[in-house]
Amino acid sequence: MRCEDMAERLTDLMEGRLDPDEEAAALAHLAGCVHCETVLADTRDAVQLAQDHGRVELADEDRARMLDSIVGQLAAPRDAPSADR
Amino acid sequence: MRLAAEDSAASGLRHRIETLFVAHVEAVYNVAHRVLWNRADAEDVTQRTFVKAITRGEQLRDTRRVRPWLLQIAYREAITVLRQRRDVPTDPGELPETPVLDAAPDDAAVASDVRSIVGAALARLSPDERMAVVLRDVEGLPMNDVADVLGVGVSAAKMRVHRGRASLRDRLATKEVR
Repeated sequence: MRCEDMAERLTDLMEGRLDPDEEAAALAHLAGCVHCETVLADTRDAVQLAQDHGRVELADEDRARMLDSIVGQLAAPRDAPSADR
Repeated sequence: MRLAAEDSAASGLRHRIETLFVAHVEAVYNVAHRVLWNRADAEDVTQRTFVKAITRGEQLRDTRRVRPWLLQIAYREAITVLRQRRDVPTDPGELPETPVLDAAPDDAAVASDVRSIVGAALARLSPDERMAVVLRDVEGLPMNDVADVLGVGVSAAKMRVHRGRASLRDRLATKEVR
């Protein structure tokens, strides 16, 4: 396997989607290629950073305001007929 | 009696909304914000997403499908807003600068700075690649669900994730965040 082939299979390898033969070939290539091993490690680090820090922070007061607004919007149509009674 | 019944119904409705909201609001808001880059618009989209979801309701019974379904609504709503407005900061130069870590920051500052760095790196991905990475890696959706949310085939979704991860890796590689 060449480095270009490894690069193409990186996501499939990380996702566990390679068939057994391809996975064995990829792992054999990684064992002997510092460049591809570094690329894989850096990609895994980037994914981990995205998992750990990739969400936009939501303040408690914003969360509470949105919930109140949603409840208000959904309750309003049900309240409307009673207002006519 | 009628007032008591109405109170009970209102309480039940609020409980139902709150349960769904608490479980998914961060993911919904995150998807909206990663499209729109604006808190007020992201909040509007988040509210519309939950209102639509509760109103339609029937798809909420399948608990495995709730998260991708909500994120699909949020993504489509955000894209609609994006198309409607004209002041989108699409030029990377208009996006926030990437902060540099202090020499010896405390843990909270490190977490905040890392979040900023990751956010800035995500901001500089193409919109398609960014949303694929957000859905797969930040929100943890299976690839099939990523494809459903984006409205593309699984192969296309996988390619976007693949390219997005490569871009993210290259942009984070020069930052001291590890």
